[in-house]
Amino acid sequence: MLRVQNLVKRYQAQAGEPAGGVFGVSFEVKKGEMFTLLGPSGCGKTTTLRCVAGLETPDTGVIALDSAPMFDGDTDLIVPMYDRDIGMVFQSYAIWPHMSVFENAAYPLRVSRKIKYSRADIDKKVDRVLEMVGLLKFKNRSATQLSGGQQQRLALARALVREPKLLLLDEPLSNLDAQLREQMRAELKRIQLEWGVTTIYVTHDQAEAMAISDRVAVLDHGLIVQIGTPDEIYELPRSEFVANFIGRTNMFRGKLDTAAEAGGMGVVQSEIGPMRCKFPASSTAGQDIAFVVRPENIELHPLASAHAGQNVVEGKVTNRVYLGEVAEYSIDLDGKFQLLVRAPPANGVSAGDRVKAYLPPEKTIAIFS
Amino acid sequence: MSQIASSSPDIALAPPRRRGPRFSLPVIILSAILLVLILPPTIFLVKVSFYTTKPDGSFGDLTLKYYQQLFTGRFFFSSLINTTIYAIGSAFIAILLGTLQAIIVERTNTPGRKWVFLGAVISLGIPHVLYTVAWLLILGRSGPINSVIDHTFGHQAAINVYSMWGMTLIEGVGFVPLTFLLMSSVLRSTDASFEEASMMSGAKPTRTFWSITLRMGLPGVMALLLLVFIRAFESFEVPALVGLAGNINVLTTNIYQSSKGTGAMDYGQSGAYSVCLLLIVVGLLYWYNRLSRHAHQYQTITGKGYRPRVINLGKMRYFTAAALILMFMLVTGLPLVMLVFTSLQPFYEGVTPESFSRFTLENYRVLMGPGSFRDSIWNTLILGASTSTFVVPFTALCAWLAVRRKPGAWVLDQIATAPLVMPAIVMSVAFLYVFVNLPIPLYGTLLSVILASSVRFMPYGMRYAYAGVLQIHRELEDASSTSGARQGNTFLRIVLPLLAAAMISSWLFIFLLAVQAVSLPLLLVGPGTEIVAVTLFDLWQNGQVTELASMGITWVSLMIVVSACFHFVTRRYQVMAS
Repeated sequence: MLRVQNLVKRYQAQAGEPAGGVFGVSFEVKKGEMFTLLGPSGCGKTTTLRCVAGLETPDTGVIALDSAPMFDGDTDLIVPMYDRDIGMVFQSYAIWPHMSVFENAAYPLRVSRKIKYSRADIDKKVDRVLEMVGLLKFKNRSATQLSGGQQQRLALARALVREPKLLLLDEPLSNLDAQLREQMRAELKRIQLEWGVTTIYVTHDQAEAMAISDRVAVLDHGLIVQIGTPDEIYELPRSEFVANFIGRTNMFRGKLDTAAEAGGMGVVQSEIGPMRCKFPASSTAGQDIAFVVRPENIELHPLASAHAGQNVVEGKVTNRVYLGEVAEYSIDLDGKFQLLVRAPPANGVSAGDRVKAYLPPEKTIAIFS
Repeated sequence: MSQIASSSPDIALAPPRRRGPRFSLPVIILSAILLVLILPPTIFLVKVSFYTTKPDGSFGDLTLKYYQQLFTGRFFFSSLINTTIYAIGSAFIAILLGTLQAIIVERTNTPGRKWVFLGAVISLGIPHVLYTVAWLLILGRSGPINSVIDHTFGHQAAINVYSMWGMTLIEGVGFVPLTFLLMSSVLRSTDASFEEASMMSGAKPTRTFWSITLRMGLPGVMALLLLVFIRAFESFEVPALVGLAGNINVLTTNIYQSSKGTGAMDYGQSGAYSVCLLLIVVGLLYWYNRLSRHAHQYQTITGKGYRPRVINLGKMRYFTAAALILMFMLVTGLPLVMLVFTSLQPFYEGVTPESFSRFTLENYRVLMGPGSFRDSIWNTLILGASTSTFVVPFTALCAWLAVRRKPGAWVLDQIATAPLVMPAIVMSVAFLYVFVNLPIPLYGTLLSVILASSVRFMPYGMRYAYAGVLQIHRELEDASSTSGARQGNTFLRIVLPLLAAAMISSWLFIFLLAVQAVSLPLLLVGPGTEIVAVTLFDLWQNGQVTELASMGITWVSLMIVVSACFHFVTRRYQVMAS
């Protein structure tokens, strides 16, 4: 539905050295999908979004919406932002203070040039969209009288009122407090499903991205480092950056024994002993490999237990943090390495104990270091 | 609504389908308008100083004789020294009193301190020329001060206000409202947490004030000092009314005298003077820009949770309250009282016991009747309103294009700000050349004055609009673009309404400046196009003091209304912006 290919937008700082931007981003968004661009600040996710919206002109690349080109660097084709059928919600909401709630939402219809909407049409469409976001009873209020959450809904209503092909959301929840954020997150998802509108969502909050997206693209330094469903991204990170950026993780380094196929298993001679790992991509023998394992995937056993052999390491619990549903254990692997484990709190392990930790091979993921 | 939108001419700006040109059409049109307004006077001014002028007004041979005359005679250098002494002196007086007032108002618990703003608002409505006249009445030979001195010390002790100290004092005190307003905004914008950090380190409030508040404000004060110095350097009213009578020449009065004073106009001479003054001001402004940029490093405007620290003065606060009253009397009260008194006299012979028994409203009756007084009030209102109405929307569009970095729009900002370097009297001379040489009979018309003051106040409008556009969050416009609105539509429906408050304050401010200007219209007005400020100037030269006072008081009452509107709009605007 939306195709972005080799998008490049370089920003120049005053002295001429590059200052952020994107350097060859490619992805496709399917119809009706909620697609998220995730990454730390300065990774290029907002730049990408603004290029799609037409608010920025890329240096090179192609952007096509429904196979109609919006931008093509080779032929210098630029469709101006107001001729792209796109709705956008801004980080600051950008609710116009000199207009009422109704007028804010009606604006895209009033300025429309392709279709001339009659007064009755406008009333009907605006009422419907305000109803959907729960602001119908405030429609005659001044926009400045709305709370943060209400402004956010209004921004969404305004973006959806002309039923655009594509909805762009630029960190829409970052200005809300924690409780409201969760509520709005659910509501966003509901509205997106209800309207079936293809959506690109930009956020730096990995939990938000996991919760809301159909697919996620993780960006770092102006490049996409991994695209996949939230499960794939979390369970099978393809790089150190993705593993660290999304959730907490343990990482160790080593060398591969014998060649491993993509999707197969292999044994890594690592700094904490030989480890059987899962290989998402094929690797040759002798290659430098790192592997990651999530704290909640590690099993803890008392030292005396029968668990032995492969993928078991021994260590001493230096700290135990009780978090309610789980407890977090810091385990010292003989002075050199630390292992972080999340396990049920009622397993009888306490600080100072020596324990065995089992790293299940299926959950121990090899990445190239 | 949608019909209006579709039929309204789009202010173009449609980003091109192909990668765009370096300049967009509106930028080219606006630049052209600006250049047509600004270039001819500048070119004439420079040319006239390098060429001899034939009796028919056309240019003769290239010559350096005007500059030679300037630099070989001692007159130029003595004027330059006079100008410098006068400008430094008045800058110091203005900064000292203004800062003191600002500190008391912003940082102490002095009772009634907020009323000082009222004084500043009233002062904004008093034309500088009227203010100068009021002080001349107070300090003059037959004024109340000298009559007290006469009674106690005898005639030989009388003070002579037509002197360097008189000029410096009147100019300096006249700038106090400006320095007060600017200083109090500097004091208000310093983050309280710097002071709190100092107190938490164990420094007492007074110590904190000296080593943190004042120290951090110093670059701002220095920049302000230089600004007032420049303003005094190019000022005209005081030097013309006080200095000329006391034979103290400064650069601006030299230009005036060689343009008008002695019968046949000496174009070359006044041109050479003007170019020199222009170059000096350019140099000073360059210095000022560097200084104020440095000052901005210290400026820490924080939006949220800001609350200025107020020093509790205890019993001392009654002394500071008395000081405020005293300063109010000095800056605003006394001159106004003196003018009201004079306006009620049938003829002026100073403040004598007899004068209290001959109050009359005759002057006001004459004023209200048909005649040149009433005409000049009308002319002036038209002048102010037209200037503002042209400058404000024009600069709003220029500033928007420039702030949003439309292709080539930085040029607009540069050109529209350029007239700042031309002192009013220089600009007056430059436009005089243009209008005299123009085939269209513009010279002496009100339109010529409106054109000149539009150019003169363009930079002020630009600053206001620029700051206003900067306060509009970029995303408010992006939201309109992604809603499908073209740029012209975005400007009309989103930018202009959001800019309204800034534009209203800008309109009122430029109005107030335009109607008070003396030096700019002085050489341009002719019979039938009298302007209040110029009429006041002429009345003083003719010695018609009581008519002058009644006209001045009438005008001031009108202008106080305008300046009060300005104050309230500006205040509300700041509330909205925060």
